[in-house]
Amino acid sequence: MTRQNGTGHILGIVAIVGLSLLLAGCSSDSASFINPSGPIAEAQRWHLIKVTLLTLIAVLPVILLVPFILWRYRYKNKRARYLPNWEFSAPLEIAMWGVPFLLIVIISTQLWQSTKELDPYRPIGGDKPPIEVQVVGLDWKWLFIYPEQQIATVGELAFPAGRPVSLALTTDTVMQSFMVPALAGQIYAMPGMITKLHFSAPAPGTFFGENTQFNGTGFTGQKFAAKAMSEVDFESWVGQVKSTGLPLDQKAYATLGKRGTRAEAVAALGANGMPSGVLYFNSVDPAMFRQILHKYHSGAPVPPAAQPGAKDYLAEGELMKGDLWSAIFGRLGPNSFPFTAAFENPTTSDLIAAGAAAVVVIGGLVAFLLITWLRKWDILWRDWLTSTDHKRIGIMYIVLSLVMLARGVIEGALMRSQQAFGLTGGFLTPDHFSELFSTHGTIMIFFVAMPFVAGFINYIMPLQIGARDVSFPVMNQISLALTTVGAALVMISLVIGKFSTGGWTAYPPYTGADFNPGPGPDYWIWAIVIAGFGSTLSGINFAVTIYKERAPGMNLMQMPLFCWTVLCTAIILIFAMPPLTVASLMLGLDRYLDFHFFTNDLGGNMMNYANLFWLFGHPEVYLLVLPAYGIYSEVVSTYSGKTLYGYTSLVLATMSIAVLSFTVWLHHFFTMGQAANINIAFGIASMLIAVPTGVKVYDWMATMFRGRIRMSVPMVYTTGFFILFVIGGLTGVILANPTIDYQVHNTLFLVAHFHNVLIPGVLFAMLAALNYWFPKAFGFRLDEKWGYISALLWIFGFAFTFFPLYVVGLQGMPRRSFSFSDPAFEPMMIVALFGACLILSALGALCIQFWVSIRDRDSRRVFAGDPWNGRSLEWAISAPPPEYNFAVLPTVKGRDAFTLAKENGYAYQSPQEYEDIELPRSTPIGMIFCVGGILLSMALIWYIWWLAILSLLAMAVAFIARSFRTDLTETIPAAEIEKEHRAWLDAVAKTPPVTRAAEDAAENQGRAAIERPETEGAV
Amino acid sequence: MNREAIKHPGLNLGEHHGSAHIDAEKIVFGFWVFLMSDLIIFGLMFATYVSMLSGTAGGPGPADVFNLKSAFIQTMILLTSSLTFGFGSLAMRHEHNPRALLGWLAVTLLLGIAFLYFEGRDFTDMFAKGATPMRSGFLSAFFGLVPLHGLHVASGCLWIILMMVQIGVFGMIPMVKTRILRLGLFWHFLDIVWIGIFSIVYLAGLA
Repeated sequence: MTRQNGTGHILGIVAIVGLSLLLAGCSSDSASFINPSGPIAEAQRWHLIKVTLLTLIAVLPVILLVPFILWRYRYKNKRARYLPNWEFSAPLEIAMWGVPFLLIVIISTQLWQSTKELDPYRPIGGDKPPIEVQVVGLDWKWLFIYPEQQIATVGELAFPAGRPVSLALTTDTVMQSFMVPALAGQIYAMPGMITKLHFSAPAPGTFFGENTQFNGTGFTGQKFAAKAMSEVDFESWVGQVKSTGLPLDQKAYATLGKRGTRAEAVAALGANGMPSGVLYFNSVDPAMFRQILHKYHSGAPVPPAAQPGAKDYLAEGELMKGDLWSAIFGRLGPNSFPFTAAFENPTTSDLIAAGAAAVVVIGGLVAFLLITWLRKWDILWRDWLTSTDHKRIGIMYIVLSLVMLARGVIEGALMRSQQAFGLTGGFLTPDHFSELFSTHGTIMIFFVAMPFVAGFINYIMPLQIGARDVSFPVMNQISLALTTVGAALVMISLVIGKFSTGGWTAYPPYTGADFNPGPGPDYWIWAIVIAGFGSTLSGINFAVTIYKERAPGMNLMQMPLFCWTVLCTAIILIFAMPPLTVASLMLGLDRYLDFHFFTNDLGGNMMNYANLFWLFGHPEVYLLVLPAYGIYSEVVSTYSGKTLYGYTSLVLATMSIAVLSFTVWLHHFFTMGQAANINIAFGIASMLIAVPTGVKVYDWMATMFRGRIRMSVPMVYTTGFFILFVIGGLTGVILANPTIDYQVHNTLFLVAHFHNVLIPGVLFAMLAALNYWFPKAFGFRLDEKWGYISALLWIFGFAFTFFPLYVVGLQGMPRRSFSFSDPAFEPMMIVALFGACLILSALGALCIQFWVSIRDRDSRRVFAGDPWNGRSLEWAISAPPPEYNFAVLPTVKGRDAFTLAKENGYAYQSPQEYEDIELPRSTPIGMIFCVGGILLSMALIWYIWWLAILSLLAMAVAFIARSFRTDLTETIPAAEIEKEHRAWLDAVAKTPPVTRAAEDAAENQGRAAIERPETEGAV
Repeated sequence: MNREAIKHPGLNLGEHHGSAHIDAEKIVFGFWVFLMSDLIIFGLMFATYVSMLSGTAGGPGPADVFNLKSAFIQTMILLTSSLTFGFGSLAMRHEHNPRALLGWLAVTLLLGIAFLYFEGRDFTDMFAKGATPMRSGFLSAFFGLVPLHGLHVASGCLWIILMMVQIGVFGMIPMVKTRILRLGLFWHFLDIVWIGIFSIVYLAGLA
């Protein structure tokens, strides 16, 4: 056991290394707010330091105490006190809730004050009048108009030091984000709208400025120099602009607006006598800024041709020609296949794309041939694809998410490689990179995390509440089918056409028809909408199951904590999926039917999209992480041999998080220009979530305290979670402060943060659950050795990949950058690539773990069903469980129902009599929806209208036809159940009970010996 | 009826319906939850509509294109159809001859179709005045919200037809009864949404 306990210490060290990396960022030379050059950035830095130190008060105890508790209360240490039933202490509860709450109150007052003071809309006082600059975002350059001086520049923002600068910003293309890290941070610039930013530089100097919002392939080049100079120098600079500049007339503006880099614009306009790489204009129409702004409010449509950035995109769209070909195949053409590009003009990027497509095609073929060769089609169809059994559906969800996980991880590693070589441009094209971050995000959230969670909920929740199935088994099958449609679309987009380049959030107007007419955004829309319907139905199913299907005697407060988290997740699914459906369908209406929900012109408002999307997006995070918390609760309690400490607290905390999750969405766009008071309200609400989350972590620690902890594979994941997740919590509190968000929004700091909560928070829980419940589902334990290797590789891989991103994020490196120009970022990028390699190896180790376990399955069987001395009802039945789960529905007398039964001697009893069990019949309806859904979406994406109508009709007919069937159930006779159940009881009786010392030995055949505390030390 | 006998919110079949009454508990509860989710969709469409009222982009606004008289007629038709459906539900609960239920369903269906006719006429008029969803953000939001309700009414009508057929094919078996309970909830739900549309879109738009 010492080996595994070492793990805890190593993790502690990793955490400390991570923190020091953060601090290393603080002493960097890079021009960022960490090394500020103006009063605003300096105040932002101080606020960061204050918030970090205050939050550490709550975080450090976890990092320090977790390794200590793991060591002190290890299974072998029989001298430590063991209180298996300790579950409540009033003073401890008060401290657990009170201390985090007080801390948040203190930070909130700081947040309030600093958000007011540093509001970018607030003019900076002083005796000198501010200098006004109008900023226009173009693809991919910034135009600065000086209305007083009647000059304009591109790529250079000069201003007198010591005088406040007052910026008014807009764009004449998609949304952008203007950022000068060393002086002020950032603010969004949006077409047809004005946002404001005020700052000043006390001393002359040159600072770096950029756009942090991805807006197309040239996005990483959209940089500029912000130059503070003395009044005298500024005057002479104005003179120089006037003498060397060109007139900024409509023609010059049109050239500027054309999609292209600044260098291209310089070449097109000719920049004689100007400093290299910048453009000067000696005369500007004073009304120009207003005209650009008002163009989108004129009431007349602004066609792509009149939106400078949009018209060039239009040429790329594969447009319908109106001939026979397009009547049959829509906009599919020979160029829709990546093989074509790789064949005609092979570059690394194209070869990788073609290779990925080949993997999909060959993988599909191999699977097809393998199934045929093994003659398994029959079994696959009968036992799996048409099954309505929640357990089989759960397993299929998890298989789906593992396949998608492999793709998501490989894409992540590819992006890390690109950025590791990003200083010299890397090996991918910007478009390919954008596609990668878009698919990676979409896949990881919707087709890895969601199905993984849905899979475990499906498998475990009905067993834990003692039910035969979910309330609506056929609807459950349809949910899986719809999720699969979404995943299939993302896979097909590798082979046919290209996926969206608009990120997983798909912000319009970039994803609108004017800027992206191709099929990419349509792939995203239909994958999300259809999978989203499936998730909504799942939510309904889970909630009704918990309310209506609990075993006799089980009231809500006796449910295992996992079920509580599932209930909250179900409620979140029911309320949070609709906003996503609405947002993506509105985007679809804009794209397909020329509606104007989010367009630049004719009254559209892209900010509505941001609100709707995050109204889903934030609860989404919690609907993923709550079941993960539930899993950690089960794992910690089981492997500590203790009842869960603070059950009521945990339930309250779960509920609070579920409610609060709907009140914080705006923190995803603090920098969109709303009033400071709004940001304050949402900032404080966001930080409040840290209170119940903190309580949970403390409750788990109290559960381990005075336990008998076995450092099993799930516990290694859980330990990694404790230590890494609280760091994610720390950065979460940091990000909840609008003041700091003005600096780190849209940077890799944010990317590091959400990976820090999603990987240790959600993914580690899923992997822990995989190791924990695998024997229940398949009847044999997973190999421990490869389990440990994989777990450690995941943990260290995560730390090495994402902690460096915090550092470069603080230094201002924008997310989604396919290349970068600051050499200071490179070392961290290389460390992150090393981490990515560890994660790839972790995935490999996971595969080996499966392989080894399946190979040695005969020596690892646990048919008796209780390999870990489990506490809840799923362990009270055989492994794998029979189709009907429970031969006789259990009667529940308290929490930890199975532990109660074992300790009071009524586990493994044969009932007086058996009854017939009615189960839903298999049905192909799910498969019809799956195939029909894929055809319908492909038809919509490629404009094959006949196929769209046909597949929609086919699904409707199938649905109606099914409603005429009355033979929906089949009956399993009591005699058959009795025979099966008695055979299992006999096997249990013959299975020797083992103590926890032999947990990962061959003797463990699934029957646990009762181990009570020695009298000494026990209560 | 005591508390135990009420299995779910809304009209219960009652214990004299045996297994249909018991089945209804989770099925109807599940449908309530579905309606809750659907209501969120409408709520978001309402919110979007209100936030885009100013987005007329120089095109027609509420006062230019809404026909209050027609909207009022639609309101009356839809409210009456809810009443007739209610009579149908009572006929089912009290186990009258299925023909009574069929008759009420037929009246409800006719009212539903009449509603759709008036709504369709409104839309055609609006299109004729150039008030298409392509014209402005405001009209996009209008055509995102009101026809979405119309689409629900249309699927409700299809569902009524389907249930009339199934009553004919199967008689009043439990499966049919629980479906009609759900259809009833759906139909009344559409009334509530319409009252929102009538107040927020039409009355407020013309006030």
